[in-house]
Amino acid sequence: MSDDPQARLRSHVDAILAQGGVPAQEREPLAEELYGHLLEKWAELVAGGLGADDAAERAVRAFGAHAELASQLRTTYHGRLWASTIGVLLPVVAQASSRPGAVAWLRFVLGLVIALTGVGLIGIPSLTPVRLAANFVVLVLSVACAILAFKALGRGQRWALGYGIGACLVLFVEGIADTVAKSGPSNVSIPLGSILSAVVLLMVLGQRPELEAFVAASRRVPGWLVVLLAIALLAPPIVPRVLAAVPDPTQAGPGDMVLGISTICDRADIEVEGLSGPETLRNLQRVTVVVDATWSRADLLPSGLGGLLDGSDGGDTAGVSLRWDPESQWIWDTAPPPIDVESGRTIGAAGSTSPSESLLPVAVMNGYTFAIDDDEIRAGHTHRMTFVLRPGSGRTTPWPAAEVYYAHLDRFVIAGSAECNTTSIGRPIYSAADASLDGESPLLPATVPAIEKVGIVEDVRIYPDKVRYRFADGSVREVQTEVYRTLNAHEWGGFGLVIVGEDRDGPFVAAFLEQDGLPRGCYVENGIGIERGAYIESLGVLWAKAPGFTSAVDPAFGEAYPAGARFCFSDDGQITTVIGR
Amino acid sequence: MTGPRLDRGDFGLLLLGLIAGREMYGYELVAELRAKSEAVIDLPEGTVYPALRRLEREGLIEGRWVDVAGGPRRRYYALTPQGQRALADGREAWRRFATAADGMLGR
Repeated sequence: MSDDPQARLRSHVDAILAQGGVPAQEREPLAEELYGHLLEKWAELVAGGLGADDAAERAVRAFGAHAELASQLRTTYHGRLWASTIGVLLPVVAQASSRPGAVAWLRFVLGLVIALTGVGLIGIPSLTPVRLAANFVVLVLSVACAILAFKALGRGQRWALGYGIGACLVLFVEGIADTVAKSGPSNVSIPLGSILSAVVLLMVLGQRPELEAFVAASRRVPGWLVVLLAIALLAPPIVPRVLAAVPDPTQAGPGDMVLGISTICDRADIEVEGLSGPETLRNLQRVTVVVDATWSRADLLPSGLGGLLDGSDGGDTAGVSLRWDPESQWIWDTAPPPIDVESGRTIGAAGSTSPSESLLPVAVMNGYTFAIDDDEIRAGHTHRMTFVLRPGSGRTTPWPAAEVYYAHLDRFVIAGSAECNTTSIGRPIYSAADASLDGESPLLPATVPAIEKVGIVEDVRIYPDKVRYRFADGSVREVQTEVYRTLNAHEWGGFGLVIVGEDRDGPFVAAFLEQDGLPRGCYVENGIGIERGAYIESLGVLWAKAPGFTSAVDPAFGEAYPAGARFCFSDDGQITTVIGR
Repeated sequence: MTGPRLDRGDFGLLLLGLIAGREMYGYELVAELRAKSEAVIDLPEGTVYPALRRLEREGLIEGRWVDVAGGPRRRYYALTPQGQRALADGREAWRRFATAADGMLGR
């Protein structure tokens, strides 16, 4: 027998085994058996009078197409599921050319994707049940497909080339989006992933003919596998963001808790610690704020499986701040611990906070707080927190009103206020899911800013990197434009009121101008304002109301002032009046 | 309308039936299958090997290599006791099926 017919028979056996998914230890004996069959058939045909080459072709044809036989072997060794998935994606392809350099870089990017996705898996146990399950499926699918693509690309599979290019595109877009989101005036983040993937994509473009030749022998994969691969590629950047915006059905939402607030103002004999021992102050003013948080539903594994094993490191925080005459002062008289009304159990600590405090306005954090153990939250139970306050001085003091904020984990904040001897129900003012829907990072409640400088400006000089204000009192203040942000449409301001301050988001400049038709000394903000008790929330900041504050309209706590309302700032930076349309 | 088709189980049963008579190797099995079925069963010859591998992995047959003078070794297959039981059960089931089918189609 000449070499050519023999080579023809051998190459047919090789083609079958290349795609047959045969375990390594069985490949050689099976090859020997198949080759022996072909050789015997060939010899029979030659003995029957056929030429050597024709006999080889006939023997190969009678044996069956290599793809069909390989498919049967895959099913035999691995079952139908393996044969129709990995068996299609992974077999070695008879490569028509040597491996182009871009393949190594695409595999490097795939390796990076595998590593990054693996890191993502570390944070999974702390997620709530539905998010945990969904993220787990997505990340495992993504890792599995990236590993398959990594291996298959080295074997010349066309689908893996497409997957690698797709991974580069995803990495590029994600890096750019991340950079846009994180970069601010004072910081710039460099999208290393985007730079790497852009370089690799350029390399792929430059080596297109070589890559095309490299995968030329690859078979097409079925449509449903293409869809699965596309999901594996796109789901990791998309699914966590979508899930963050959709409430986990296993977790309580703002609608599952009623926050009742009662403010009782009365007089009582109060025992205090005097210089010479306990003494009783007769008929002293007393304010008792009773906050009842009644849960109709409790969270299932609020800190995920990690919380189940390690215990929750979260918790709730309730805080109260009082609106009172700045001249007066109220102090916390007694601090009974928060209790579960139904069981009588102590469920937290007075004068303490939990990590959820980050959701509360600064004004509350300067007030009085309770920390609640979230493991104690039970459906149908009411948690009661009682704040008892008395005047700091012996003088009769104007009665205050109470503003109460309750933050549940990092999920939502419910707030409300109650004047003396009234009861009210709190309203949701923040939910992490809604904030996520708005894009960017969660929109935390506005805070009371620290005011660095407030005054009427007589001169403004704008330089490339800074703005210089000369105030009416003769003082001069410069702000770096890279460090400070502007809050409103007046940007760096004109000849009007300028407030330089800092809140949770960093340093800012707010500028307000007088308007025709309004009283002199009224520096106006025309934007949206939300009633926040002693404050009005506008431009993302809580602005204090001035003593003697008046308003043409009187929205409930948490409600927006009507469109067209104008907020008059005095030259000390407080809101004196709200003027209707 | 197409004629009846062999599924994987049926094909395996036929191979068990052929091997039950005597030890055979792949090429011989193909020839025997064609001859005994009078060429009614005429599958691509290579399909016998995935089926043999499956039967071997299921423990119904076992193979042994036999050296051949002047040519490649041959792998001969024989039934295991488990294979004999599977063949007996398969025969019985097939007969019931064939009888039922005959009853409906008429002899």
